Amino acid sequence: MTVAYPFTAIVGQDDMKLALSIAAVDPSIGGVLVFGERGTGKSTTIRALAQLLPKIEAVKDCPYNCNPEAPKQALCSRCQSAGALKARKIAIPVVDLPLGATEDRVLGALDIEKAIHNGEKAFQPGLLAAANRGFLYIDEVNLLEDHIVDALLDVAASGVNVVEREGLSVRHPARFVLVGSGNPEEGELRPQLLDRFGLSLDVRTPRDIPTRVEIIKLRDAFDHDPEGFSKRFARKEGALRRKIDAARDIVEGIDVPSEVLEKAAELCLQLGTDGLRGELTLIRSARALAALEGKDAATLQHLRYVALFVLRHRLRRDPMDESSADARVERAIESALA
Amino acid sequence: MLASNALSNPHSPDAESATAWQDAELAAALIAILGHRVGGIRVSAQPGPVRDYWLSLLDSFTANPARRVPSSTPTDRLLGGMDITESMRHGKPILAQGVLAECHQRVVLLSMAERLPKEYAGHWCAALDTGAIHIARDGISHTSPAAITVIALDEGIDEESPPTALIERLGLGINLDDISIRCVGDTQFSRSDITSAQARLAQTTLSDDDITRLAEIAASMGIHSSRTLKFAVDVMKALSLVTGKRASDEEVIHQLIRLVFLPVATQLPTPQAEPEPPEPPQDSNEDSDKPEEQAQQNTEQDHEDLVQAAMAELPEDLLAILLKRASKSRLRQSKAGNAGEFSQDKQRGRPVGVRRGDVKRGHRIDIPATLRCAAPFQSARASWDTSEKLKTSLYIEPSDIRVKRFEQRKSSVMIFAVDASGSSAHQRMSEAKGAIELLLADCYSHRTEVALIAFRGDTAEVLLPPTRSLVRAKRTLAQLPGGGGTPMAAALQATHDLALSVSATGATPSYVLLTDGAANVARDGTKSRSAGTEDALSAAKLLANTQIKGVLVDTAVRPSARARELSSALDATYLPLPNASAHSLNTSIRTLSVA
Repeated sequence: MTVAYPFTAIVGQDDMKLALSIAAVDPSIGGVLVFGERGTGKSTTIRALAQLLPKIEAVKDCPYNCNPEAPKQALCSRCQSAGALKARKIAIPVVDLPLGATEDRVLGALDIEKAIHNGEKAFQPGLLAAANRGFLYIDEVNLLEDHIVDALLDVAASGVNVVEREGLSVRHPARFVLVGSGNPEEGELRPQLLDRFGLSLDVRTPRDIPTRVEIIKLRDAFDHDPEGFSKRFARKEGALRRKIDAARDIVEGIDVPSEVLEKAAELCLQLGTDGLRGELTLIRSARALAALEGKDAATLQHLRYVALFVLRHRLRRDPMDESSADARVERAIESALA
Repeated sequence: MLASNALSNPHSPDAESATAWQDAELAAALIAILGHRVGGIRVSAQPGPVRDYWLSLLDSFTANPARRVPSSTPTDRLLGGMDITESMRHGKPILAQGVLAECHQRVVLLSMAERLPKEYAGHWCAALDTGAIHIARDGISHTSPAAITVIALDEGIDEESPPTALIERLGLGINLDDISIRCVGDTQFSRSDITSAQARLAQTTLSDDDITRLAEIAASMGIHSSRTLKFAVDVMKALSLVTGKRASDEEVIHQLIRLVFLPVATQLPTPQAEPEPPEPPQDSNEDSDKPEEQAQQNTEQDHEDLVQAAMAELPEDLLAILLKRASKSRLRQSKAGNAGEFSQDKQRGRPVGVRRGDVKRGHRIDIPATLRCAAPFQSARASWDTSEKLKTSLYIEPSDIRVKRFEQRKSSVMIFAVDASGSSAHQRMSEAKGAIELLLADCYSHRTEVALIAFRGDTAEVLLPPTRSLVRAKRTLAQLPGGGGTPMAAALQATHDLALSVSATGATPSYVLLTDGAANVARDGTKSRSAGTEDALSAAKLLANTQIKGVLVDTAVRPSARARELSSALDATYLPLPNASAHSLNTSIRTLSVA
């Protein structure tokens, strides 16, 4: 296993780092989409996240990483029927969905080896099983083939993967944080898929020379000696990991005052976003941000900070309004949170 | 030019050609030293002896000869998948390595890179980015190392170019087309130079100043990608190793600019300050009292020098090249194309792949793919088969069925919206008519349907609904009367409506608007210049939002600001009708449509 570039050694891109941390604190926020020009460190940042995530409790030998503490209906069929569940600590999975993946590996399929040798109809879990309770990362998400997108949309909405193929009939939990990155110049994202992402980001390369030099120097040092470089950042990584871990523990208990709830509703109303998803994500993100900061209640300040991430991809396109989505969200934030 | 650079008389063709070959030779050495670290190189050249010689030179530098991979290599070969025969024999899925993994730590020749389909480019980019291929196909998940070095042979002419995502990941770029075979000769590098440079590479470091300088040059050339900058740092290290010169050496920087930055530059360097006439340096007089300021001045001066150096390095026609490139990328967004969009059809067109499918829905079954899917399950299914039927038959289940996918170009319709108002008609009507006639002939040869909208007085009228009949189109055009106001909003509305009805029938619309942009009739028919313009702009936005591609041909005597404004509201390509023959207009539109 090669060493990935440390998350905390990434220069700039604070929005991206924050959004990913928020998604790690509260997975129900529903994923992060990172769109941006080439060479901005999108993939580097997301791959770096994997090493940073805290460990979770999972049922031993369960291919779906079931949570031993979860209510019975949230478990896979095997863990449901088993008696006492043995737990072990695992790193939160970050699963890569590569381009060119086929449906059988994404969703899972008949285990050929077992089928031929033992004549046994066994299910070989796919990437969605491995990603349960973790992250599913799709680089170049806008280049993903349509039939894979279809399968993903369905599972991401329901949190359950149902496989009906090759004489198998399997359902298993598949709740994951969808993380996608891409370059808008290479293709648009289908609106249905866009809607699945809780937060969306538009990243750019830093333009000032000292920052760019710093990026290159660190990268050069990393290429030169990956292990040693990672050690230099181990303390920082540990601190951030503990922060995220602590935030995960307290996030459910964070108070959201009615003032924040009202403003969130007002923002969504003003922008005419469809459905409640925007509002819900706003509140959850503000709460996760408060938890990251170790506060016990979300404030308007938190709301203001996350509003752009949450809302920019949810606007209806107004044919007569040419101004960018970002400008419209910012205007709405100004007027609602003035 | 002030920038009297170190290069001696770069204008004689032979000297230029010799410099270009030196660069190419150097690039081959750099690729051999750095390999996967710089991703690779884009070699723009038509096939020929110079390119062949360059490739053999590269082979002599590297440990393994380059492996040629055609750009049409499909996903399953690039990534690998299940090895059918082996899997059948062993009764378990066995991986067949893909081409990318087979080329781990090797040089790959991507031939005809300009034809690399976008859907395959992603795999190449993934291997370049991560040095590994991660597959999840055919029941197998596997990660194989694939630290490839890509030599993208770009034979593109005019508008063809390899996918930008790939170009961006290749650190170097050379063009061999202008190199005369006379300049190609023995090399100054040997394999041992390369290996010794490789050995010393890890110990080589660049100072902060050197890195900062590279970052400044990159910024001045409009290069913002950190990836390119990282390549530049690595190339600089290798350059200083093979040339034995320091990284701050001017010649080394020039070489680096030509090889790394110029191929991906998006703008000419803009000097921060007015380039003054070179003064004789007189720094020794007053440096004692203000050392700090002096230092700052020095760095500024340095920076200016560099910008100057960069400018001096740029070929004189760079502006033209950049403009061409800019218009190219523009075209990609809004081209008035004769080739329609792709549509997926169940039966006809170009095969684009295979997917799971249903026999009943009228798809065409891909028999080899279906057999491949069923093959590994045969013995398992035979053992489940309790029906006591012939056990020799094939077991194929509905889930095995694979169908072919096809892609077919949709027919396209070119809508001509012609301004027949007084202002336009007086000026250039006959020229515009001539141009349209020539275009019609072109449309005919591309099997494009045409429609004609004329606008004058207070309305716009569809004179000719979409048709393939050239004769009708010509006759209608000849009879087109002129005179009256310019109801631009109505014209754009009519174009919009017609375009939408065209796309509703499954064809791809595009439009050519010939006008001088002087809208003076509002949507409700009142004559008012300001209301007319305002309505026209809002109608233009409506049309722009449909993403339908268009061209605005400015028929005013001089290119007018109003027509330009309108074309930007339309997001259409702006073309002033040159004071030349209708034929030259036609060629300029034709270059658009062929794109």
